[in-house]
Amino acid sequence: MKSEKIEEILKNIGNNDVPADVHKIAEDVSNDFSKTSTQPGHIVLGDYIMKSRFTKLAVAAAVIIIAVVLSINFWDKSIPTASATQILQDAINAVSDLWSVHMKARMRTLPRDNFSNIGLNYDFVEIEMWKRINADRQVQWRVEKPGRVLLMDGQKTIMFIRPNYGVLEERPLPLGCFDSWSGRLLNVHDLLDNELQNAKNNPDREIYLWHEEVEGRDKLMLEVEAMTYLSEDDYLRNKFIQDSNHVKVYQFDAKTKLLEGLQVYVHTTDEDVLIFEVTDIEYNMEIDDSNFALDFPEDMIWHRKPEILPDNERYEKMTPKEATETFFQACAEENWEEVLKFWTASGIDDRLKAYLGGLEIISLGEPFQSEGYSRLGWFVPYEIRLKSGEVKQHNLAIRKDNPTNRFVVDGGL
Amino acid sequence: MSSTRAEIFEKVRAKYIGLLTSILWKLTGDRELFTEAMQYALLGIWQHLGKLNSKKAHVYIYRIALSANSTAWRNRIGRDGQLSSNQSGFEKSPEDKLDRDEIAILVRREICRLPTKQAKAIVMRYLEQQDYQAIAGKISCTEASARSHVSKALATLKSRLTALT
Repeated sequence: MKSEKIEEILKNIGNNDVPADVHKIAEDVSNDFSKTSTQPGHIVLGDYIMKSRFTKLAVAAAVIIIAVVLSINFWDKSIPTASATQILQDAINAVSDLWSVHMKARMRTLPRDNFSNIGLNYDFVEIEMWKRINADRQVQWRVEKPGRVLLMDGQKTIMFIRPNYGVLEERPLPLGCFDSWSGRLLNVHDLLDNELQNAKNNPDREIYLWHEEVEGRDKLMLEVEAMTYLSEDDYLRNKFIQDSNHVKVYQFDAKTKLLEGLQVYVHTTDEDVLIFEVTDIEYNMEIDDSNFALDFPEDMIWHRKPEILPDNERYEKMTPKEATETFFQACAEENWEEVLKFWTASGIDDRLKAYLGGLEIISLGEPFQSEGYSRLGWFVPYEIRLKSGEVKQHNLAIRKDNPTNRFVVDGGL
Repeated sequence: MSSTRAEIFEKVRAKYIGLLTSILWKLTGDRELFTEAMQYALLGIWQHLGKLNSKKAHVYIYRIALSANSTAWRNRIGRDGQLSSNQSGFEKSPEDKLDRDEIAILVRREICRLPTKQAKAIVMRYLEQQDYQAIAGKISCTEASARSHVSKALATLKSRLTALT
């Protein structure tokens, strides 16, 4: 979208009428605040805000669901259609008092790669996630797969890529940061609320709800379709969950209405491939403090934002292909100071030096872009011969959407 | 708390809840953010009751709304409004895939980072659809200054949006 349309966007925002349920939320919040603040004896306004941040979603979501009219197809005629919204409301109510969640899942992804990275032919990798509100009323969470951990301890957020690479943000970031798609599942409220909002905003979208007996227990199943806007031939199509056409199948316990499972199937022309599956969920259990702390090795390398170079202009002028060639040539010559100019880290890891050092460039292809990637990002096809003799063909991801305006390597090695 | 303060609070609340709801909904566009911003706005009203019981109350209401909105956004996205990327795999930043809704979210996010007067002016002009004369009256400046605030705000938003998209 062009920036010239800013006025149009602003006008559209201005034309948004306040929905009835939002008026109701405002009224509820306002009444709640008024009651709290006018209690004689003690007024703890800061405390009010703190508490409300953890409980407000339940109120908001419940109000929303009452107002929402969903296009729901009931496959089990024993449940009247009119009760469908009630079932979803019950599911949200059931998780309204959560103070901890522990979730296990498996996903077709690479152990060290991006959290939302998928591959239809990849093996399943175990994922484990924890979230709690601690004694100080801080939200803490952890999302982990074998080669990568994302941790928010209430004060800071750390992504640790084993064995020794880390990204540190000295502030709490929300679940879903660093593209941690699966982490969002821990926000069960938001998860359900978002599905309802999507259904509301996309009347043509199909949602199916039905009863199913699983291992002798009555379950409610909710099936939601999601479509990507990426074309079939886009390079990133089906490389991330959100860049695929897929269906999510939620499973609730019919009695408690608690979310008990989720499966995600990616649609391909031939079949639906199970790509993600929650295998276990526990609610309101004690989680050991050690889950919200990390130990780092001594040779830790930290992410660092690119800085302006004395000869930055030279690098700014580089085309994607030139930048790729310069980067690989520096690796070939083991000129790590030069390599670091393309690398957003505090140093180059010895393992990477051993891997890329002394490589030989066989060929570079024509750079291309993807609708699913940064508009200032490119993929450059390459073929290199590593010092080990192995020949590697892949696409180097480089991008220059940073303040230095020069390309840095973003992946594809 | 004295009963007088409670009475004033109730009076101010009743008078401005509609305006606050409208402004905050347009600035947030999201029920969770809206709820949080509304809480901060009510807290702001409580803390500035004296100013809100004066003739310039409407000016402070906008300031309170914008401040509450900024706090709610900051809680969600962090002070600098950016999520970090990392080196290992190509991490898709939040700005990588922009559809119409996402652009609107970015615009809302950037409004909360504008200087106060520009933010007020842009909210009054586009979100509340007021004319420049009314805006000038409310932010105590000339009509030309009101236009200037709106113009600068638009330029800033365009620039930031271009950088992000």
